[in-house]
Amino acid sequence: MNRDDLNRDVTNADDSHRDDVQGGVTTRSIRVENLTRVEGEGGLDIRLRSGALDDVKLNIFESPRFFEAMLRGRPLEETPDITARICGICPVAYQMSSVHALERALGVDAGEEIRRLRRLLYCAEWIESHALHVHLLHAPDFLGYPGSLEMSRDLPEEVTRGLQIRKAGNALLELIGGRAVHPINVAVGGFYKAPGRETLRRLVPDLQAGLRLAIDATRWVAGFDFPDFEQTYDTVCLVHPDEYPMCEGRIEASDGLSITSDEFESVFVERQVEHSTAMQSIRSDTGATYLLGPLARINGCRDRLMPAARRLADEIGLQTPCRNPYQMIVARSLEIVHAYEESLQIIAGYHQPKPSRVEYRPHAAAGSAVTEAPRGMLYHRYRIDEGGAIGEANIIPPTSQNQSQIERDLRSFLPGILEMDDDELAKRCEKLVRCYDPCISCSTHFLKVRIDRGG
Amino acid sequence: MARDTTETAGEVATRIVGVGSPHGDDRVGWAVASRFAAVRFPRVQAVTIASPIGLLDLLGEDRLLGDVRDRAGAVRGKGHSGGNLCGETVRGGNACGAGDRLIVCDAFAGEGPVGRLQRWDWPDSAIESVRSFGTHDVSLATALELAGNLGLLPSSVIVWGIDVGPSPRLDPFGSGVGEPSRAAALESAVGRLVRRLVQEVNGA
Repeated sequence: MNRDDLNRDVTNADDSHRDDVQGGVTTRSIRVENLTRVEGEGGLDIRLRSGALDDVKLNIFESPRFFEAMLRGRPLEETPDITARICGICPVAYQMSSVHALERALGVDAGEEIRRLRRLLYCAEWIESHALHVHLLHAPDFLGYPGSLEMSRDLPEEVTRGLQIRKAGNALLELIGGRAVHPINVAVGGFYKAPGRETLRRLVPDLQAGLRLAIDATRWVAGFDFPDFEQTYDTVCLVHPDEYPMCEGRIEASDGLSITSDEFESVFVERQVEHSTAMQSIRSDTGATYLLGPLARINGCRDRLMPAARRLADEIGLQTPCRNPYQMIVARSLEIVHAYEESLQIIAGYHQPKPSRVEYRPHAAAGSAVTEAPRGMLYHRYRIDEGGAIGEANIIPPTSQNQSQIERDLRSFLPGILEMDDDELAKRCEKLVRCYDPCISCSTHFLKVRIDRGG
Repeated sequence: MARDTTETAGEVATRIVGVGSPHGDDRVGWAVASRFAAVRFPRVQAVTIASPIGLLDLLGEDRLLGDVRDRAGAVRGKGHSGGNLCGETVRGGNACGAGDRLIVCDAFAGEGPVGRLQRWDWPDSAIESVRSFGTHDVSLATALELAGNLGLLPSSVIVWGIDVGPSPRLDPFGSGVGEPSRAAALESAVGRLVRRLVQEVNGA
């Protein structure tokens, strides 16, 4: 039995499939305990009354981890290393948002070489995180396999390719970050130690080979059979005039919104919902849900992809704006190509920053920043006290922002599949949720699906 | 610090892999690998990795990208970095061949007592029931099964687990601060497992 089988804890009929008749209304309950191939633990409750969809709730029941409270009173220098612990998959994102927010507060300009080295580190994380999700967690959904283990028996070359793609990014992350999981080299003001030019250049052959493999993999993914389902999305991402969104830029939405990170909390509001230990976000100005992540970035900034990635998007016929959430795997694959290309470009022009970090004087200040984590924009805001300790922290990860959008997708998707049997219906819901590569650990943080069906 | 055994990389017959981190109870897998490396056995390589999926990188070295260079930059052959040679990045280590042996050491959250050693000969479905520390749904058992499906596993795969009890301590400053008996139990377990591995390697 594999881990996926273990996790797919379909509860017994008493819980997973329940028909109740009260007052002439038939309620049918189906419960799938665990959504697999996601990071973290959560659940999904679907309630139907008299055959119609009544409610969908994305439950997140991991314990809150109180990172923001943990930061209070700690020296600001500890922030990148502490926030990196929020996630084992995208620690660089937490480090990047934290250092940018703190530097904005302190008025620190880290300089161009450090800025480029940070983008290089972020590219490494995008490659590693995206490659893992595309090839081991998500591709099986499109090819009829329960998981990557089953897929690897039939398609070993494709799975090996995915591992190869991931590995080159992993090596880059380890080199710059000091280690591949929870890097330790990111500092406020720069890096504790910057790699030398020759050290980075040794990775070029691997990165070039990784780029070729990533292009092949994107063509493979683009040929998947995508369900015919489209949504109207309000997509939100950073927008920079010259660069594909990553560390800097204005926050822009497909409806024309354009704000700075300082205005984030006036437009995007978190709300507590009873069924989740994670906050959910909506836009305060429209009351609407919004979409973050690779599809939002491709929709908004396709023209800022690196050349090979842009040509590849044209070659595979990607239509943008794309409103089919299943095509997030295509967007994610294109971003791997972009990240490889940009990595090679950065290394080609790299000069070791000296010093590796700029000095600053801690003082009372406040600042915020948004960077683009693999799953979407990640907001950090800090208040620093006179002695340089963190007085207040607010961290809003992408998956908690996407939660409301996932529920909205399911509400639109479910009416078309209600005739399916419970197992199949649950599987379809899981697949839709997985499109988002939800990092439930980040958002507070396994997903379980429970369907309460009315007939 | 554990020694660098890359000079024997081309002849590696047994690879001892510590899974975990330098912190908390999770550190015991690394402690075993690091301490074993100090014993200086020929044809034995001791390696640490941070998560089970790192096994795939490690075992797939000879099938992955590009030329591999050692730390001086000399090309050592085809391969890729696949883990830490007890703290140093592995460059140029060969993947385990069909006649080689892989020994994986990891902490697991069992029923105790703390420090209990458990051996599994892969494939063993009991490994699935072990709550090891992995991320993104790639457990040790999944990583091993995936490696097997991809033809990356040697003929002999042994998993040694050190039971850290149902409530692992994950504090970064060492296991069981203020719990000397717990720390001593884990320290003793690491020593016992290293001695056991020495016997196994000597008997090979």
